[in-house]
Amino acid sequence: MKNFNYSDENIYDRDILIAIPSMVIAVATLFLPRELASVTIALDGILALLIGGSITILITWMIVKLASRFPQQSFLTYTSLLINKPIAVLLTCFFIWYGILVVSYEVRAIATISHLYLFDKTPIEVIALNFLLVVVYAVSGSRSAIFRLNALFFPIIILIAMFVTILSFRFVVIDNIYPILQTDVKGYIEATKKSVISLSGYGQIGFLLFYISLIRNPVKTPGKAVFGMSSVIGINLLIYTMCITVFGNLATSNLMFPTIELARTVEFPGGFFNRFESLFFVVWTIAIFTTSVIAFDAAVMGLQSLLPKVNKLKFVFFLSPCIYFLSSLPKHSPEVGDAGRLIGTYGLTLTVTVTIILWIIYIVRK
Amino acid sequence: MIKRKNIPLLLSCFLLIFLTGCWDYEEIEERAFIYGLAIDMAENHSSTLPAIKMTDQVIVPSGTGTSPSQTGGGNQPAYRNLSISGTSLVEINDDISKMASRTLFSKHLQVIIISEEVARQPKLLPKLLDIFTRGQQMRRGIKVAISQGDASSLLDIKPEHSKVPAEYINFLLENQKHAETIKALRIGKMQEYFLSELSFNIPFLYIINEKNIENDGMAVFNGRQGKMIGTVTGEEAKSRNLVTGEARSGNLVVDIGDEQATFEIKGTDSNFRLINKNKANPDLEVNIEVEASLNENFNTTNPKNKLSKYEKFVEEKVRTLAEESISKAQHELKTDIFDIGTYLHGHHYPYWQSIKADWDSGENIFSKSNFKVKVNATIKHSGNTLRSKGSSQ
Repeated sequence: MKNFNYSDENIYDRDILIAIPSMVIAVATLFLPRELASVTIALDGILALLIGGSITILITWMIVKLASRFPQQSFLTYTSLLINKPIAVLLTCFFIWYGILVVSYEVRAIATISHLYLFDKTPIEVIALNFLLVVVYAVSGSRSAIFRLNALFFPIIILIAMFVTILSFRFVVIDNIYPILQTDVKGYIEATKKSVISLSGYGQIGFLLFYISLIRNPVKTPGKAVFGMSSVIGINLLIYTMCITVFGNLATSNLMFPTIELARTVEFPGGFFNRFESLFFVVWTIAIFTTSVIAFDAAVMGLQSLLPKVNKLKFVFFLSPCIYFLSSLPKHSPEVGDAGRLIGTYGLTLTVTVTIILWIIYIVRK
Repeated sequence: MIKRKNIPLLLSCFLLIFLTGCWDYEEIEERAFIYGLAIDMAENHSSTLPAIKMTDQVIVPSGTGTSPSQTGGGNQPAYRNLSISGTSLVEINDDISKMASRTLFSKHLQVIIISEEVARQPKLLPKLLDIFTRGQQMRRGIKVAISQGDASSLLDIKPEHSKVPAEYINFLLENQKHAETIKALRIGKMQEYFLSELSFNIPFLYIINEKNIENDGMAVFNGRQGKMIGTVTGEEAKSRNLVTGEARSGNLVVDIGDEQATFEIKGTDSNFRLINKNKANPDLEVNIEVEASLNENFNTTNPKNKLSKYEKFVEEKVRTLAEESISKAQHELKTDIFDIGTYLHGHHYPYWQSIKADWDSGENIFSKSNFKVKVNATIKHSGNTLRSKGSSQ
């Protein structure tokens, strides 16, 4: 099999800017409004989103700033430099395992959602396999191509999120924003926790520790990364606000996927686009696709840094059956949700602890 | 032996399996679109097992006359009504599918009509409507209405300009701007009311003759009791819409001196204010803003310079109507038809939490509340003429 080789495997600052929303916007965005609404009153979740967003931006900045201190060095290299080789290998393995888990979760989640809304009779396993095959195809190519693909899809995803927002303005009920600030502190803490997990893409921003090494001269990268993260927070704020103002707090907290429901609410009079949700599904599948591709590629990248002599495709073909197997483990959709929460906690804890420890060591060594 | 070169070829042949098509492949001609749905009580139901009769209105494409292959299909009805009794709507639908020659498909369901009898059964309606928010083919925009008498008979009328009764009812609910009706109620909104256990109103339909249905007044549903309490006539619904500021059109006939004058409502706005948070009988103030124009004047005087005097009469009239409406809701229906619960929830949250269980059920604080109505009317203009008759006529 011949592959087309790009002249270089380098990426630019703006690729990171786009990669962040591509990674983070996925399944969690579809039900974040429900999670926030269930612990807060009326529109108070906005506050939690803003606090959670600030925390996520801080984490992102820390990750990118740290990684950009070691330009063109892989995670394994600079971690070995900061701590020692065995621990660096162990941490890389943790991230590889995390990447595999994320792909499995996304594959299963998109299969479950498609099964619920689109394909009534097609078995979940078949949808999952088809989706995974496309992901494998994207990962087996060039790495910089993935980032170019993100740049292609990103505007479409933003556009569709805007569309959902603008078109559902007609259904907004102003009364739904009241009462203001009646949530207790416990509710805010719970909601902030949920927003951090969701906004960090279940901790996927940790993959940036790997990807910054592809940038030749990462001086401006931290700023761009913060900007990319802000766009994610903006989109989530918009979607959450629309869900609450259209459905009210109670209904939002009782909808399985409020964001999908929002797209389903939009109805054009007559004509071709009478049903907007078909378009929404196509685009959101793309969003989940980019997430899965990056997570898969990050796992492959980790393996490559551990075993630099082995061909990339061998890793891909070794990982794919494992991912497919993992994705078929949950019995029903609540178990998929539980798995998501578990992976999210694992990923976020891993990312945050690794970043903080590396920072501390970096400062002490300096 | 298979040459190594041929292995990719064999693999691609294997992948051809995935191209055979979609599991969910279904010809559009083989689908039966349900357009409207009626829910009645079955003829022999007992109190322990409330059996339901459901009627599906299914579109027959050849009868709609839009199909190009069909010549002169005009005499054939464009729909088919199928009904069966049972206890679960999903099960009934399953049974109906045995009678339909095609797969029932409810993604295009427009209206659900519920008979008054069903709505009056305690706690039955919230249970029945579960499927319409849970089902994956269902949309939150489906409209709901209550019918006087049999719901299924509304799907049997023969409207003159529309081939499908359900379509006619859909437009009837959607395009209604008359002050004596209320806005179309969607199933999504209804779920919100069921979740918050607030009381709400449902459009009320009844048959005038075999060709026409009228949308007039409203059915009042008590959230806590989970059943329909009563109906409000068109005239009373107008008063109710004045109180809530939802009246966008309609007329007010006002006595001015000895003669009467008719004003057209151009717009209303209202807001509530909770004056004291007494838990037994709170005081509430209603501020109503009315904008109107003079449409018909039986008086012989020139109204042009007396508009402010006319405004006083309009204010008095609106106040009387509003007070009547509030009094009826408090003492006859004992149900909050003005959505004051939403206001209290939004603006007096801690107070609302303490009284919501007894708002319009149990202790019924709503019916013990004191209402103070304040009206401010503005008459925009008095029409094209100053006087149309001599002063002696």
